[in-house]
Amino acid sequence: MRESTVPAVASLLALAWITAQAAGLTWLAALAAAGALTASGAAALHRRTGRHRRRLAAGMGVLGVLLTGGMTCLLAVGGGDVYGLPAILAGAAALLLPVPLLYAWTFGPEDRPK
Amino acid sequence: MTAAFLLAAAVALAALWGLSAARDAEAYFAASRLAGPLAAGLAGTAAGLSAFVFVGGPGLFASLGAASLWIVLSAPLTGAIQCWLVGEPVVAQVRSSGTLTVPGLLAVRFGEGAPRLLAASAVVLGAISMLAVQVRAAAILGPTLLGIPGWTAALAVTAATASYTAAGGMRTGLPAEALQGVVMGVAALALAGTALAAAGGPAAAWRTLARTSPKLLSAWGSVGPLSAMGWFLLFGIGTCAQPHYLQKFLLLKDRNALRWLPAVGTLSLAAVLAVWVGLGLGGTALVASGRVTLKTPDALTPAVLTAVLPPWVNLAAAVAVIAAIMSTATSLLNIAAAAVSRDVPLSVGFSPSSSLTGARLATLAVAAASMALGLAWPRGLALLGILGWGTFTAALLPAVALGLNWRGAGRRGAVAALAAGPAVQLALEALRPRIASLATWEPGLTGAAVGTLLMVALSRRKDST
Repeated sequence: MRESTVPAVASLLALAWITAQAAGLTWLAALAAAGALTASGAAALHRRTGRHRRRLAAGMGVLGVLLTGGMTCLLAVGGGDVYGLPAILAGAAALLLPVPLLYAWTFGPEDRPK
Repeated sequence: MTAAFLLAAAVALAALWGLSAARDAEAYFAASRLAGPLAAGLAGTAAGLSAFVFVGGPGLFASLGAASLWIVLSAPLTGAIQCWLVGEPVVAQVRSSGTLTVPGLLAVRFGEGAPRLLAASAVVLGAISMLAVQVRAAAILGPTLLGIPGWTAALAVTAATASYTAAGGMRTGLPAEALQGVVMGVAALALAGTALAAAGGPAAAWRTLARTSPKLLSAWGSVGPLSAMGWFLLFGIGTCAQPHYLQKFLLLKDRNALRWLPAVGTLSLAAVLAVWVGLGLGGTALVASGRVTLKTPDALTPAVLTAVLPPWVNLAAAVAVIAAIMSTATSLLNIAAAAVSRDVPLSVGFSPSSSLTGARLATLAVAAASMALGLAWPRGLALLGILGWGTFTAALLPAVALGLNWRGAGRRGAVAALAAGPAVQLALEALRPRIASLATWEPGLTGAAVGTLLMVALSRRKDST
């Protein structure tokens, strides 16, 4: 994410979250939550160069899809289902090692010159 | 009695060592910037996870089921997200400015005065709220785990922590927290495993609840998806605004320490959080099957410990809970003391004293205030913890996250966000019980969202520092 897009993305996510709460739009809340968490990682893109930047961009793309997909699936099937607990634990367990390893894999040299 | 004597001796030694080791502000507030990823990761986990996890969490599972886990489901993400969003720019700023506090970060970024003062106010209020959780947890568990009256346990744990924290600040606190993090992880795994074993194993516990209380097992439980996702996001992105987490970046010895920090933090976090899942699921199944009697949800942990678990697990639980309380209290006491003794004077134009006496006295005063709030608080333990976390999120998230990642963020916008965020949050906290349509609004996140919009709207390029 370019630094110049940070305020626009942050504003959009903030508005989406407020709207979701006001209107009770659970799918919008899911998008906002997944988007906020993914954008938080993507905020570091402008501090990366070369292959570390590409790795981070790819990693955030995958994470965003997984978070969005996971939460929308739960919205679709989760109400009143006793398999909800194992499903959410499995989702968390699946991310337990990959995300911190992604950080180490995308940890590059010093900030690029301004 | 032997354990109590050993603990008292350890605390006294730590306090004496701290008095001699912490000779300047950098040692007292930033542990002389000696931390590598292992110490910072373990200490960060210990500081962030408190009695809330051991007592409030399983209790929340007993009342809300799987929905309570949305508070901790972001754990695999938070270590990396913190580093990506705020850790890297914090470390960079520390290298150039030598900042010692979180309000100090905002002063460097947005200029002295209001940004530092507002941030310091949020730190003090949020820290006292979260410290009160620790006091309350000690009071709940004292009779069960230590065999002493609740207020005695609360006083003893608070006094012990305040003494070595006041003496040595984070110079003492960092190694203590790292050790406490290891203790917490090992004990949490033992507690989780034995509770699940007592319930017949995870599958048997799940089957028991599927038969007796199926709603507890649904992904959203009785709180519904909107509230559950609110907790997920609050505790996911809110970690980037918690000053006791951010403090750990101020303690790092160099930028390279960041590389493995998320891995250490995430794995230690998962180990400790196992108690929420294991004791929550196993304990709730034991209640459902009639083997454990429960008076209030917060009483689940002591009820399971006394009813079905062997004595050595009680000892492990006592040690773990004390470690959890003390580790979280250490960081919160130190950041609040820094806010009172350093940030507030700086924000109004006074230089803090080079002596650490003011900081030590502030530590003791904050501890006393927390004791009073913790023993008087009428509602559930988990709710007090969420209130403190939400205050930090509402007040600090926009200024920290946007301010450190967008050079266009301006002073006017930051001040507006720092003031409006907690105002919105506290207003929602007060109104939600009275207005049904507000029940699903998450106050901390809403405050942060409003603060974000204000910050973007009011920032001008010419205001940037």
